[in-house]
Amino acid sequence: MVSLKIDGREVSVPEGTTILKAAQGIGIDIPTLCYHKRLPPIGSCNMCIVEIRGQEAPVTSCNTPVEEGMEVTTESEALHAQRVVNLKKILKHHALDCPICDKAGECDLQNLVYRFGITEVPFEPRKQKRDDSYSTSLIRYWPERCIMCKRCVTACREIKGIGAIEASGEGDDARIVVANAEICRSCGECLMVCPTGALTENLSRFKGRPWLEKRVMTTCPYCGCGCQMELRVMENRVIGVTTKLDAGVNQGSLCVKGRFGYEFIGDEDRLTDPLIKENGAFRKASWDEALDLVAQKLSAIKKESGPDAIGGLSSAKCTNEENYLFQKFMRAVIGTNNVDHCARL
Amino acid sequence: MAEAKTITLNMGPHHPATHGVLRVVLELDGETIVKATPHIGYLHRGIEKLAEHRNYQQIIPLTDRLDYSSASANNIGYCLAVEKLMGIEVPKRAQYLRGIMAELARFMGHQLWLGTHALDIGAMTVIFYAFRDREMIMKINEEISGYRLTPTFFRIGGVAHDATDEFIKKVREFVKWFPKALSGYHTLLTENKIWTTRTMNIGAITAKEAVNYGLTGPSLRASGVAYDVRKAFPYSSYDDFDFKIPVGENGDVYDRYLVRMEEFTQSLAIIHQAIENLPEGPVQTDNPWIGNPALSDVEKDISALIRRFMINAKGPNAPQGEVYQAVEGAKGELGFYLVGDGSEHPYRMKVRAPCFYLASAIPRLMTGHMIADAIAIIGSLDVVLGEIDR
Amino acid sequence: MDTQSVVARIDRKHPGSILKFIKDANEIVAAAGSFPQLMKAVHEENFDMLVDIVGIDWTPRIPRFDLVYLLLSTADFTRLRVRLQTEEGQEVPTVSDIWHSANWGEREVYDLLGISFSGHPDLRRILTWKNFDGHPLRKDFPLQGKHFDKPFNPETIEDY
Repeated sequence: MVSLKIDGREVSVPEGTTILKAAQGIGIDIPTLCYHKRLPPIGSCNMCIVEIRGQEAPVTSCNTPVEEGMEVTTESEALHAQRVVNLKKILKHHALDCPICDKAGECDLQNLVYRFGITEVPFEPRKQKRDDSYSTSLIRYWPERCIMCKRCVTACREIKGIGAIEASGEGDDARIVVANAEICRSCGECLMVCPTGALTENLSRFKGRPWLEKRVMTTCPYCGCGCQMELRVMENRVIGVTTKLDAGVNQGSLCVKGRFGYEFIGDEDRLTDPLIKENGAFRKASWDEALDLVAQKLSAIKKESGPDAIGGLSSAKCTNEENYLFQKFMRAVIGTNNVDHCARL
Repeated sequence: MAEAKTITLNMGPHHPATHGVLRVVLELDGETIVKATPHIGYLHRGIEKLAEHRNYQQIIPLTDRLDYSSASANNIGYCLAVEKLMGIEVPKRAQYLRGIMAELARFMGHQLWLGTHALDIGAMTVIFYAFRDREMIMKINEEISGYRLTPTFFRIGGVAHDATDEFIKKVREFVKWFPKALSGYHTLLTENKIWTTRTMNIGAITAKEAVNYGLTGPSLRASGVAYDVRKAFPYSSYDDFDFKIPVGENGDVYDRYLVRMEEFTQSLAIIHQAIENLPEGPVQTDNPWIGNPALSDVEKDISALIRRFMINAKGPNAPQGEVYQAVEGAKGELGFYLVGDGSEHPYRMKVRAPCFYLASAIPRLMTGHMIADAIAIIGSLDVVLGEIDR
Repeated sequence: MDTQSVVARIDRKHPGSILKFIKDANEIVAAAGSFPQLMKAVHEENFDMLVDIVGIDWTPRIPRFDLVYLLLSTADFTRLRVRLQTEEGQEVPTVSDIWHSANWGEREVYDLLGISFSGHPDLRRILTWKNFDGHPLRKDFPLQGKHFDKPFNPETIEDY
């Protein structure tokens, strides 16, 4: 254990803990922007700077480990001024986009700007135009909103172990570039960690504001992993999927199906009535009629060729209970073990 | 001898002379009112409850809908209460503009009262003149805010934007024109024999009783109590202006009429002084967490855009605490009791509606008078149901 | 008027009726036991207008409610607040016999917060109707109303 003082308060933390984590542990709020709970420290934004007694320049607390006897100050006039300068530097080229930005309302940058009460940052257009191509068509990259925090790059590399995108260039020229588009799995991990609206979902652009929608906690229906996710619901239609960091086995991650495969819920082409194929064409039927027909045909096949002539394939989009009933039906009513499921993995 | 019988007459809520949806159940002995029971709540929209779920900026339009006949006067009370809670100072120019708007709102309220009150008693002509001049203020409201009746022109920490030259021109025109109109009103009513007969010694209340019943505003001043929040607890630079508090003697319908008529003159004096001495300077507080950045800044400054977005979408936080701020609305002391809990919503907002207590005095004022006087009394109290029911 | 000396005088007359005096806000915190005596004494000290009564629901605090009586002296325009804490189901003595404006003020508090006043001459709901379910300004009352999902039938309303 290492003992140190943060803002005059004694604290003991295990060796290797960063100053930021030690401070958060005792409820001291250090402003952060590029730091993300699930990512290793990046240290690109310089918002979490703190002063250490005996050291001339402030250090970034997210990637500085604690040392025995350290005396840390998290708030001072000089630190505040420095943070304001750093934030203004980030803001200088940020697009004047909030009114049309999907992230507005839950944007980390907005929150910080308001928290610090920043004024007077006249917009300066960038000298060269940034390329807005991205590794997947499901995500749109808005280069003018990008603040180069590199969370997306780190998430792609560290959480997913892919490395489809990279940061390139220095200073004003810095941007996110596609390194290996072919290995991108469109999982949307980069989208999830993006603090601003630089990465937005292409499917649900401009469908609703974060504060107008309802969020419904649910389990992903695609496979047996049971990832937790939240459906963004507006006027009774699903307009997107988000995740909570601490929820479920996935801890905020999803795959391409979970994150982007929600449009079937409200799809126009979804079947609402049973269809019966007669003479090569489908016609609408009532449930009673359809079920009677299925029962009749199944009994006929069973009588003719035995129960093992029938096999059942269930769907991952059904609930656990429905799947249980299905296999029970196959085994007990039909009398066969030919039952399988697409999410058996 | 036959037993004395009373009949019960239901008046309202859809009676044109109740100025909204006031319902009064009258018990009559012949034509004399022996008991009057007001029933309210037909316009209850739960503004106090709604306010607990909106942020401080978003509540301003709700307050417009309290006393909708003089909307800016409600805005100023609410904004001052929030500013008191947050401890913000409003720039002088904004205070003057607020004063002008609040006094214009008083004109609107009083003109509506004058027209309908006279109409109720049978003087058809007045309402046309009153509404002709009310239209001028509507135009002024439209010029500065885009809305005619409910301007929502004030913001926490100032006003929405600076006054236009056209606004100042129109206000000056109004100030110049109105004395002529006012003398016209006087010609129609003040010494009119029918008017004085219908209003003198009707619904009289003594000063002591009026205070005990919680009457405020012109209705209290008509009884001889010189209580005006603008003088007693000056706010928004009202102490810069020279004006008098008109008081009556008898506290009857006629005195309440005279007091309001004199208030026209005094309000006009305030507007005149404010518009001629309008100080230069900003119209919004420079506090970056509260002052809404101007739209012209938003177009070229990302920090202004973000702050404007955050202030309007999320709203500023108010500290914990409880404040009471009263202003002189068109009907009387309009108070806002705000309880802050450190978040962007008020924990509790209580509106002290002057009309609520005016309406509670209806039984006392009506009892013993003739049924025809009932509408004269309701009219003279100038109740607005939007404010009573909230 | 110097509220400090007013408070001192009342405290001498009815010892224990004032729990606390907050000078900055001109606020008296009243003891529940001797509340009517305190209010009478305050009235005698020239606070002749009861401007308003504010009820605040502090749930889950115990006692649950705060009642704030806003008083004004029309002699020299001094304001005074009297705060009384009360628990759900407890009856508060009425002050409508001292100030008539408390009649409707207390009815409103009764209607919207469900605090009963003992000795009130006419304690009926005022803004909502007779058989309205619940008290809207309580914190556990949902914003959209209790029966939002059911169709509203005006026939069921009982009016006074």
